[in-house]
Amino acid sequence: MSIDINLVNKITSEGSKDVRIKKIRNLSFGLLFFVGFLSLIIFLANFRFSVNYVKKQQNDLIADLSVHDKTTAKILLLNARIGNIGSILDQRKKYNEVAGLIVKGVTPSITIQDFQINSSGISMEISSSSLLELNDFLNYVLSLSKSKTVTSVTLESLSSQPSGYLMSVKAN
Amino acid sequence: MKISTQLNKEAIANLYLENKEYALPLFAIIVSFSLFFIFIVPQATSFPSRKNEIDIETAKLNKIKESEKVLSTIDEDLIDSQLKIASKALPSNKAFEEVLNSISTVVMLSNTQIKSYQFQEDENVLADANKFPSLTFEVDIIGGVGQAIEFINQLYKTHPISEVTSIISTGNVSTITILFYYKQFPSIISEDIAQIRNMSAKEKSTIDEISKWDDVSIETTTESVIDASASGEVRSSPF
Repeated sequence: MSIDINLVNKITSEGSKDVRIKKIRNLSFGLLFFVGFLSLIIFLANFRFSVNYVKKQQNDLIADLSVHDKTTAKILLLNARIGNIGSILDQRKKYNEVAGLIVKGVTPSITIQDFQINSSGISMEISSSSLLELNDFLNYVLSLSKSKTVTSVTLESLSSQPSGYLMSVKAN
Repeated sequence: MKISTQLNKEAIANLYLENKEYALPLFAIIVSFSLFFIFIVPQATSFPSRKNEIDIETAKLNKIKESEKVLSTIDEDLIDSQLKIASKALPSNKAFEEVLNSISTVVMLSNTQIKSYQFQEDENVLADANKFPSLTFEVDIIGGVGQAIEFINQLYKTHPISEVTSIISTGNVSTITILFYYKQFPSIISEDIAQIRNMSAKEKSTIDEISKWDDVSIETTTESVIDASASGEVRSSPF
């Protein structure tokens, strides 16, 4: 009776082990390659799209433009100055225009005794021998509210004097 | 117990000898996964934030490139003349001489007479970020509201730039409070080159407007004063 009889097929067992090893090796090589490739891509991306790379380009360009330093300074100063002037022009009060519109309604028979215009509004004292003229002037000032020149008009006082009538008006 | 330990060692040795072909590939797989999770994943996840930073810097770079284009096409003589006009309109310091010349010119152009004037430095406006430092002049002119309006109309078309904050007219004397603005030139650093650009339409209209203003340079005013004195129609000096 032979004692070398082995029921397990040795060739089949070793063959499947070789296949398994081959698969694992392939997987490991594949993974290493994949990780290596990704690392390379990330390295290149970091190099090409890095902040430092862009900043270097900026600095190179600024260095190239340094020959125009004087012109650059002039343009920057001009832009800043024009911006400041524009801002003042936009914001400055146009009391002359408002006062001009109000004075337009003053007829020859009306005398401006006192006139003030500042940030708190307009106040004026006008006199006339004709009450009708004063009434017309008041209506004229009221009509300015339509064009938003003034938003409110207040008749402060109206008094009679030997020389005529004195009216005090406030507007905002 | 000793036998068991020896057996374990033998078992491990046997296990290693039987499977040593797997060792290197498994090690490579573990290293690959480690590298992937330790280096690649963090790099990938931080990419959006870095991209934002890069985008900002790229935008700055593009602006510098645009500046380069502007610089290559700019007319330097035009810039010189415009800067001169702008500096006249908004001086860099307390330009007393220019202010007095301005008032003098305005008096002549509006055909008014000055009774008196006083000035002060307005320190309060500096607290307001939108305001500029200024010299405050209080000018008393002989004339009513009409003349005060004419005075301001001319003043608003004269260098340096000014703003009337109050008109008080009583009888035949009008007191006009005027702020004459000035502003120091800003300091410029090399990175500011990215801000170079062509003028906007609004800025062009501003420079066009102030270019039409009356020049109150000393020579011109002196000439005007001489002319006015000679004609005898306009006061040579308002003061």
